[in-house]
Amino acid sequence: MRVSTNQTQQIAINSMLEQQEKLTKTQKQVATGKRIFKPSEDPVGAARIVDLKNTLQTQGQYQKNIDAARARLSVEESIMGNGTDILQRIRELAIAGNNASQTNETRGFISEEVEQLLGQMLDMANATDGSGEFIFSGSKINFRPFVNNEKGEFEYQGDDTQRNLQIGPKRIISTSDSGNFVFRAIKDGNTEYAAFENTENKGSAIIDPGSVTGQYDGGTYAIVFDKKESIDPNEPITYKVIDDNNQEVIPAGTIYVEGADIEFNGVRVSVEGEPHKEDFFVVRPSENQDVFTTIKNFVDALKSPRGSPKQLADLHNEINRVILGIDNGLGRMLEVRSNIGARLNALDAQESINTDYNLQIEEILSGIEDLDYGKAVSELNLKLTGLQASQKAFTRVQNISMFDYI
Amino acid sequence: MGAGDVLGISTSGALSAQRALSTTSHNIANGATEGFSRQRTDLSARAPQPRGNGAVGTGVIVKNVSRVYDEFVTEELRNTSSTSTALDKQYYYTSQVDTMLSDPEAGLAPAIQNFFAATNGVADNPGSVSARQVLLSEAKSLEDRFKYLDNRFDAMRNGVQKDMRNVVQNINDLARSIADVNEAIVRAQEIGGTQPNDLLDQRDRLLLDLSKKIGVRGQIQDDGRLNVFVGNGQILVVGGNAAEMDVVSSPDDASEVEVVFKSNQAEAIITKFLSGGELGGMLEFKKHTLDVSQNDLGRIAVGIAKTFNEQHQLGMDLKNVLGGTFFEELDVTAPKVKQNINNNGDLKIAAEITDLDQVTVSDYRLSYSNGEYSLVRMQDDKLVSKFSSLPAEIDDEGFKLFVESGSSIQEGDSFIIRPTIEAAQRFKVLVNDVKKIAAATPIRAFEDIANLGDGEITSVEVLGTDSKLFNGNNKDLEMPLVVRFVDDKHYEVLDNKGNPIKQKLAAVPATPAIKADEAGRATPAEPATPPSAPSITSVYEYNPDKGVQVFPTPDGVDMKVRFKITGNPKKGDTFHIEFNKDGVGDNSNAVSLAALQNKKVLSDATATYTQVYAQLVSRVGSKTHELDTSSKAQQLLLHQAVERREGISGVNMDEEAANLVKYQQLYKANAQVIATAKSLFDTLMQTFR
Repeated sequence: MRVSTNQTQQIAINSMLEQQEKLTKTQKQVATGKRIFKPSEDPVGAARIVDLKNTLQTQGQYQKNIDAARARLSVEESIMGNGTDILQRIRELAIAGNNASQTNETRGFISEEVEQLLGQMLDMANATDGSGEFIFSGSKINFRPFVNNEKGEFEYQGDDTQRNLQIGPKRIISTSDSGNFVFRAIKDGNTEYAAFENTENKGSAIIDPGSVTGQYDGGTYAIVFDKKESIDPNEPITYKVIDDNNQEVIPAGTIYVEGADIEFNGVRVSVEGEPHKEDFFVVRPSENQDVFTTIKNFVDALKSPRGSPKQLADLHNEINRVILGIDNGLGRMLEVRSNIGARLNALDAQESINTDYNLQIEEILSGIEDLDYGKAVSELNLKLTGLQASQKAFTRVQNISMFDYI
Repeated sequence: MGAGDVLGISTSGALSAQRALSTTSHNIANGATEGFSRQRTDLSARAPQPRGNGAVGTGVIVKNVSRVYDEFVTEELRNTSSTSTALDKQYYYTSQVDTMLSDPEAGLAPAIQNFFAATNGVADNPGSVSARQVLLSEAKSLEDRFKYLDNRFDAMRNGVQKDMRNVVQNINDLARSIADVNEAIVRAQEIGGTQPNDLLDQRDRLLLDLSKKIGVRGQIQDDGRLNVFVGNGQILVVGGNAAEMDVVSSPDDASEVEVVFKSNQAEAIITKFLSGGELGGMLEFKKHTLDVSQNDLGRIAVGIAKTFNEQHQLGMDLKNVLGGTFFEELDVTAPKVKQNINNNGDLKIAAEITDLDQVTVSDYRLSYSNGEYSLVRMQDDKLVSKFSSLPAEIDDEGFKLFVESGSSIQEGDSFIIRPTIEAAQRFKVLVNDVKKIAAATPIRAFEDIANLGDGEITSVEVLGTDSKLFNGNNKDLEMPLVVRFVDDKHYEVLDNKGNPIKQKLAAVPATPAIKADEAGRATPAEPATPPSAPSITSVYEYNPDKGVQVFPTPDGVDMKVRFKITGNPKKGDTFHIEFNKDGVGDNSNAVSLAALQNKKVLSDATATYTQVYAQLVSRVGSKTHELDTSSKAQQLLLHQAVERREGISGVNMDEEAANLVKYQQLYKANAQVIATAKSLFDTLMQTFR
């Protein structure tokens, strides 16, 4: 084929330009360590990069949320620890206060300590976080959770809302517990039913609410004592158990044995001491009682002067209930603490999952985005050689001309 | 034969050699002239003189100086370079969009990420004013980023329009020049009777330049004039006359331009018939990348605004008020409808996006003819809908059209509908008070403290705030609601007056629904549940093993809130749902808002916000890549065409050097013959001395 002189030059120039373009790109790649500069160089890769960077940012956000959740839960955890200590101390004092050797005066001393502890307990429930928001008022963070109102009741001003945070792609964790759950919605008695003495009781009988046997049906019952008018000192005390329709569950005339189990419809209680005729005890389903009221009841029980066997029996009955209440409160705190522990563990687990995932993402991202230096450098050399060859060829070809010979 | 003959012959030879030498030197002189075709001196033996003993040659004559030229190859070069410049120009612009979208600082992705990081900040600390302030400023940044990107698109559009004006001016100049050269060629032919080679080259060169601006067809007339056609047959040059083209603002939409062809005081829009050359490349870029990408960015803006608003409106703000619209409602405000300035009717039409998943990145043309509206999707020129009156729901394209004002419509009136072109520009944060960020959920649920059972109320969720629960007009159905257990296994739902809600709602008819099945066919409407007569019992059964989702109730009452009751409630236990007054520490709606970042809420629930943006990036990237590849391929074809032309018409210096030697020798030899003739003559004269 015929070739024009212009063309031979143009071909050489074109080839050099092309080599230079490729060289510049490789040079830029080596200089920056990046493989892609514009989406057009790898459209699929570019889209993946946008997506992966978003994932990385989200992962970073999860990590922040994990840190925030951990901080909140740790504060709550330490409060639960203190709360447990206080309740345990109160329990010790309740057992001590129940002791027959106590006098009105010593009980007064105990009551003072318990009142102190009640104050501490309230302060804890009303604790605030770093930004002055109440920890235990659910979502009503600007409302003091527990206030002692004019009626002497402990009123809850918060709500049941738990604050949640997303800590993984599919993992949401609660970072708070409401005061209602922690301190307030605690069942009294043995959490199924509670036993109360009739305030008009004249005897010295004390009831132990015992434990549930089988299925408690949720009914309300009265254990009513009776004793025939007799001069015989051994005339037995009898009792009957009736339900709220006055139907006998345990027939009248059943002989009372001190400390023996009285069992009916899933309820098992025992009574000690000497009940009078017509004294009775009521067994009713457990109701919620906040831990502060429980402590307050204890203080009140300790403060009122006691002399007669009936008064002492009332005291023992009340303190028995307080101990149960404190135990239930302790149980709730334990539950919350172990729950917080589980959540803290979940945070750790999620953190390590997130870290692993992060590494994977970063690896994939680097695979798409980053340059393989070995390959790039050898390519750079190859292209340099190519350009040199083009330049040499050009000068050589341009050097020969017929005009040199004529 | 005499010495006179010899002298005559050799003189013709010497003169021809001179002529050939001057052609060679012309070739050498134009060795680097672009578009030059090498010339050749065609020598031919002069007619012989008949003699008795045979015909005797009479020397040589220069028959013609012709250019070495191939019409087919020249046309091929023209077409190839027209396509090549078109692709180059398109690539040039598209790669600007490509670079812009991928810019890690200016792209949309980082702005979306920062916005959601701030949303998470509010979720971490819903009561904190500073966290809320950060969210507002990041939302503003997102707004700015949308506007910035949209402005860049607008700037590109303006740039293209300016370039179009320049190119059309170039086209007009070139057409004028071709017409002038046409005349010069005809004149030269008339005067000289021979082909004016260099003028022909010049005209070819002009036509080549013209074809680099716009695709053209040339046609040589018998008299040697060249006629030039553009578009679908408009005659740009006929003989010595050149028509003009112009760029004017579009009658459809003043922000766009059209190319018009002017003839006899009439202007015809020929934009859509144009292809090839720089102008063709620009039009392609505008249609396939610029409009589409800007529409796509707008679609992302609508998507973010809509989904974020929907979630935000399910929340409650710091002032105990239901969440408002966080961003401007772009599905309502963004669609742009322009009536053609030549419309005779006064009808003004507006559009609203109804189904974002169906919205395409195309614009639409609505035209009225024979009492019927036809809607054409301009991207692929497809008729998508025909209807006879407004309003019209264009379900498959995801928008509806309705009359904004006016009433008269005339045959031939038309409108341009651009659903999302302005959405990115209009993206706007409406919330300006930190207290109005709805981070909380508007309801709270709790178990009554007097409950005896261990039943729990959980999974509280609000699906909509348009139910009667949140409606101040129906006092009975406002909150609080109470779920009360009549025994261990049965419960009732009571309104705030303590009446079972069922009877209150029994008169509310169930909405009949025509549903599309998965294949897209409309299935027969499910028989609408007839309003059930108020029944005496409104007590529902409860299974303690499974718990219960209270709404919708077994008889179909739905308050658009969801909560579950689990565990073992006892007789008389109650569960409450009330307005979340003062629940400022509740972050549940903020958590839901933050979760939107990675929720597939767009494109028929297949893509997240960043993914749709990534799709845009990748689409433009692919387009740029494709253009890069095809423009390189076209470059190769162009090189080949140039090579072919150069192979035929180009000057080869070695060849010319050889010719130089050859004709020099010819001249020398003829001179020698003249000398010989002279010596012959001398010899003869000597004889007579």
